Amino acid sequence: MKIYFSAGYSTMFMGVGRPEFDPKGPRRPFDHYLEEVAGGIRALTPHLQLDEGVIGSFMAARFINQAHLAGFLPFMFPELKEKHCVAVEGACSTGGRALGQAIRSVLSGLSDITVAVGFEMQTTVKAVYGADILAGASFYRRDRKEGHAHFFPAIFDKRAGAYFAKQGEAAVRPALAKWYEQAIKHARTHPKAQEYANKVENLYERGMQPADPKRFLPNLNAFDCSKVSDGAAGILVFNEEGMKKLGLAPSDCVELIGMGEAERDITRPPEDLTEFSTMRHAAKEAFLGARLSPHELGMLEIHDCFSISALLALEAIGLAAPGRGFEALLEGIPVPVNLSGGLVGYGHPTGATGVRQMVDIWEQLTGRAPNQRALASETAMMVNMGGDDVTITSYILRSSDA
Amino acid sequence: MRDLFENVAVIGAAGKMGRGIAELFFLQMAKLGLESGKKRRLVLIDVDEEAVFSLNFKKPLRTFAEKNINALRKLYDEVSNQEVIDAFLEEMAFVLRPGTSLEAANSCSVICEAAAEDPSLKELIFSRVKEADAYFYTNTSSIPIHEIASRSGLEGRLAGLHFYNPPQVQKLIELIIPKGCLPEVKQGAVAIAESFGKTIIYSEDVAGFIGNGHFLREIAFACDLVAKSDDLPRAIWEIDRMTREDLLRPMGIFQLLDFVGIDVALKIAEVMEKRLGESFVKPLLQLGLIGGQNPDGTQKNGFLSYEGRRPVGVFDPLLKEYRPMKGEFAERWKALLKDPQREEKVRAYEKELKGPSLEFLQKSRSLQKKLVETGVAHSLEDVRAVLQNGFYHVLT
Repeated sequence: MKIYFSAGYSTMFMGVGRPEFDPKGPRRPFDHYLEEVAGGIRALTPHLQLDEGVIGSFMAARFINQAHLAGFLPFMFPELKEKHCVAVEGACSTGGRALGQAIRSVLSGLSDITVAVGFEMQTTVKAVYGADILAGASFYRRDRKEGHAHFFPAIFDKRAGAYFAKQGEAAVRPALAKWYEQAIKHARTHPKAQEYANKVENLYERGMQPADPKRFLPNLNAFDCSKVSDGAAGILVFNEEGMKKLGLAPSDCVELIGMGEAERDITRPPEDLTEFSTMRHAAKEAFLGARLSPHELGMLEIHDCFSISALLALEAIGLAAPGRGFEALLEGIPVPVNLSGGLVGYGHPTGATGVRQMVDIWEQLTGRAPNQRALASETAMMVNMGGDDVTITSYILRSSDA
Repeated sequence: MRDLFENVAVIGAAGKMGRGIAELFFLQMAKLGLESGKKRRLVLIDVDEEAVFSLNFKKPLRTFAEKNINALRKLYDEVSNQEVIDAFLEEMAFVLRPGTSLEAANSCSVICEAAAEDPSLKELIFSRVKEADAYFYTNTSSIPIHEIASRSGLEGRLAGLHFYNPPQVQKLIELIIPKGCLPEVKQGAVAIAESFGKTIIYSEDVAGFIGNGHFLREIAFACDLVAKSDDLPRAIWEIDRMTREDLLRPMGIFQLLDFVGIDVALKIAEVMEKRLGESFVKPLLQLGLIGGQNPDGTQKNGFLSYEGRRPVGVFDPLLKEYRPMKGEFAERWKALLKDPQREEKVRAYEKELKGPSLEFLQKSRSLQKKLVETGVAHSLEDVRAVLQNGFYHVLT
């Protein structure tokens, strides 16, 4: 059975960086974001009908005191009234896992058309308290006490420190700065990106700022980190029968050709801080299924929660040799990456990111992206990571009329 | 030197200035608490029992804790940032010792007074606490320190630590060291001001010091100008507009009077007139208008009426009501305050001044010189520093 994606919609990702964001003002209610996604999907679908729904948000229960998320799917789509709806969670790969669950619901034969939605509202609490909530992506009971006040940046700061120890900070720092510069420049091409209005000229110099262990961390600076965001994204997942029912043409759709979904033991620390071993495994599975090599991809969406994550992801995927990711960044990655800015540039509402990555891929491969690029091939890959290389969702897509 | 932040009393702690001074001491104690686990005490004294017992400074303390979360996490066993901050706030609450009895200050080693601007009240307060083995400081903005000290038996042990409103925000402190003041009391004042991150300007111990020495004389000048007019409300409005818009100030002279409180200004005028032999107590100040702020910080009507903080009318003494007025509020001072080319732009702007605006500026400058010539200020730079940092004058 073939699996297709279409009618994807992402909201603006809101937070510090957007000129509309008022830290002291009221937040847009999360259900308004969900309604917007539903309206966006509906507008892209000639005959919307749904058999099942999947929704994901990492920590809605803490950020907005909202659980029981499956109940919001019939709210978004009356077509789902009295049908099977489920909520999933996978930390920052919640969106990826929502896609995965939707794929399974169609593969199972129980559904021809399933909608996958992801969202998060993170700006509802100050960052110092948000850090406690996001620390739930680790083994909280064991790790929170000894962890840094701003928990997850420190986790990846350790990885950066280990990488610097092997390769030399002076050699690697320019690569991380270049990643930041590229993320913002790409975000400037997409009106919904959190950093769309970022007019700073000296982006590279900002990225080159030395780390300040007294004020933040010993290895990473503030520009190495994605910001907290509010936002939502959704997309339809269906089989061939579903495509007909929806009234969509193959040119409106992308086809799933490779899957790599992996989980590691969260209670164990990574074996090697300079490697994303779970991601390497998942990516390999995806490429095997797609019968592609990394350099054949037309575009890539990777999980740059931190600049060091981007560097390690490129090595894990195979676009750079182990330990040489920084060189690949400096020389120029042969495959276009994170065309809308990724997590650093577009934003990272944890539950939405994986779905947003898929929406971006769908838009680019079907030629309807607001920042459309001419791609060297009609294939694309997304890699969505939860926690510290714990949960990986990796999919490879192809234009369905390719 | 003794630990200046171990055992402190703030008298008048429930008032606007006292509360601000107490908050500065409290946050400094919190900061020192990160470095050592020494027990500290901040005694808050005020006649208003309900107000003094409701003082807690939770909001600024929480902001402090959030900014210093990394250091706090090392000091507490709690796990999450939220729990650590809550534990810290709970612990710091025990530092505060509110009460209405002056005697509670007797065990303190630093005593700061911020009660009403009334010489006999301050003398009474200090005479009641003089037995304490303490450094004594008063926030008076006009009463000569040597007078309070000699009448309350505190010769040599009292200095003037005059904060500007609001103490938490305003960078300026006027430091008044009377003759015969013990060196350690002076050093204590300097250390306190520096630990609060303030800019210290020394004033001689002359009624009004530098800030009010200039302000009250400008008020007197403005009152004299208004008195010459046929349309008193219009004159008040126009002089207020002129001093704000043409002289590039955040508030016009009458709005500033309303802000300070006309009753407070009148008390200061009485203090200064009695001691300096000049006319400060003008009939315009004695109309019974009060001004000041509401508990929520909004401006009360005085010479002008307000919507929020914006003047929208002027008092007509004949009709005893407010005449609605429309004004311009360009706020040019704000942009210029931070402009690196401020000096150039202001000098160029000054050349365009004429008529009443120029006259008022020239009067201000003559007052500035007078403060130096009469020995109140050490230099014109000091006077200008007070006007710029305490009153936000861009054009001095």
